[in-house]
Amino acid sequence: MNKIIEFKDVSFRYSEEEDYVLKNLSLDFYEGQFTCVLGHNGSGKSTMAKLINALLIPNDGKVYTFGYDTADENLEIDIRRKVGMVFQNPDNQIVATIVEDDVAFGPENLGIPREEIRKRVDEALKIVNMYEYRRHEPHRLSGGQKQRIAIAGIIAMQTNCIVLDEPTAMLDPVGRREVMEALHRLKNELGISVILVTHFMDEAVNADRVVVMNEGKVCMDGTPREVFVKAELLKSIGLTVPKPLELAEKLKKAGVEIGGTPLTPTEFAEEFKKITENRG
Amino acid sequence: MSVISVKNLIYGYSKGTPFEKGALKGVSVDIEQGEIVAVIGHTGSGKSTLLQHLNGLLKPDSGDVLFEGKSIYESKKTLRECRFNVGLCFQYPEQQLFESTVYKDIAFGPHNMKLSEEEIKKRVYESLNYVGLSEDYLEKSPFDLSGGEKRRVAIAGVISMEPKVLILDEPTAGLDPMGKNNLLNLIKNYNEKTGNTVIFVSHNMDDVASVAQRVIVMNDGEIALQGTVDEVYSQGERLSELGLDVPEITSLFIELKKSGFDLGDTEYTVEGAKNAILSYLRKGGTL
Repeated sequence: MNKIIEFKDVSFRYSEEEDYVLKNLSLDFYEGQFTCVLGHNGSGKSTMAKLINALLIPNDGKVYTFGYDTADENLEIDIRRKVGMVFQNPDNQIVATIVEDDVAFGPENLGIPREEIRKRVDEALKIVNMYEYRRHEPHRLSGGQKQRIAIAGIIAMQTNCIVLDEPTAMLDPVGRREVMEALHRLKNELGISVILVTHFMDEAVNADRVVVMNEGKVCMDGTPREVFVKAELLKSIGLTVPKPLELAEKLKKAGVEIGGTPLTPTEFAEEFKKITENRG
Repeated sequence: MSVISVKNLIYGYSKGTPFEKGALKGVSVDIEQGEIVAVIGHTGSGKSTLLQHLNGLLKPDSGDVLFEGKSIYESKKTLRECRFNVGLCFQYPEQQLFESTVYKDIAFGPHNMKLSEEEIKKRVYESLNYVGLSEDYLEKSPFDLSGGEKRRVAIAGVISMEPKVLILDEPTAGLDPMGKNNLLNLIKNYNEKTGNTVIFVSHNMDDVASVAQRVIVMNDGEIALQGTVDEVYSQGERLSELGLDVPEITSLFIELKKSGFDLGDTEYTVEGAKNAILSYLRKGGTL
């Protein structure tokens, strides 16, 4: 798999009086993957995200984004054409008064011809299921709808990778679901690499890869199953495991031999069937 | 007597414009002294609008809000009394911190109540204790704290007025799992130690299940469902219809029942589910 982002021994702090937020962090991201980055508040995950597209520059070490050194100011534009970012607060990232103008803002700045912009905006809005709202005023939309507009704005720039910093933290369950569905479509239908920073464990269940950060370092890295099976370690750094797995673990301790690592209710039901069949 | 009684509340936003929207369409509810009530509902269901009536921030188009049996809108005096007795903490309260030290920020409310310096000091220390922060924080600037700490300071600023009813609008939004647990414990702790009422809004059904005694579900400006956590959570399908999540353990139970396991009542906590499954297995239950 192609490496698209490379952190090499990166250290970062916000000012000289403060402690380092990232300490000798080495971490790679790969093309076409849906990667979830988990960690409690202050673990350094948001700082890591901002280093990817040169919003922050490392104090020590290097970040290469699609081969570009993020510390080189001349490459900033090239980097931002490759990687788009979506933040937590939907109200802070809408610039226009009409939805389609907002989505067109990015490609307009890239100097793309008018017809091409029209085409891209329509396609982007369809992918995030917001096409019918194209002439609406963004401030009258729900949080989930606003976040999907922000995501469409990045799709319209045709970046290869999208980084999202807790995009669902301020949304209700319906809004969260809509955003998560849109993100999985980006990966599956457009092949865009997704890096999702979150502390909702259930959002990580369907990722290709889960990276857990703690105290500015990577403390776990693997498939969701490989990571969540280490429930004790996760709890010790202030995270939780998906509820079905927690239940399975508790049952195991009480002597029930439930197998596997069920991450969803459906997986749990399957494992449960197996043990009752064996007993029967 | 109910501590707060809401009588047939009607309220609309943007009246007289094409965007006119009925936010509350005749809501009546009684809140009892000492209970923990959760208000849930999807975005735009009217839950925040309802809360903002409880301490008179909004004035209804019609209907009334009674605090300890007396209309809060009766006079300026009753409204002022209500504001000190019903403490409302908005979403993202950390955005409202403004003083130079944590002490001053928490003391702001008690100062306005014209309490003695001694009493104010006592209350600042007590509320800091409730939110689980040490005294080392008092001289710090609130802006140097982490997000979760800021939120706790902001909540301490409301608690310091010792409101008989503490209202929190989405207190756990944006917090990590540990911050969330701390906050839920804070709610329980405050309720148990003071015997005061707590009303909170949450989207997270697991959070609600872990602390609330009663649940009110809002939909389209009306109360769609209410009852104990058990009563409300057992109506999984109705909750989905209302745009709400069912707790993960509840959907797990529904899944198990679909597969033919007769596990009895639907559980919504990990602990409850564990016990139900163990007792089912002990009885030798198989397919």
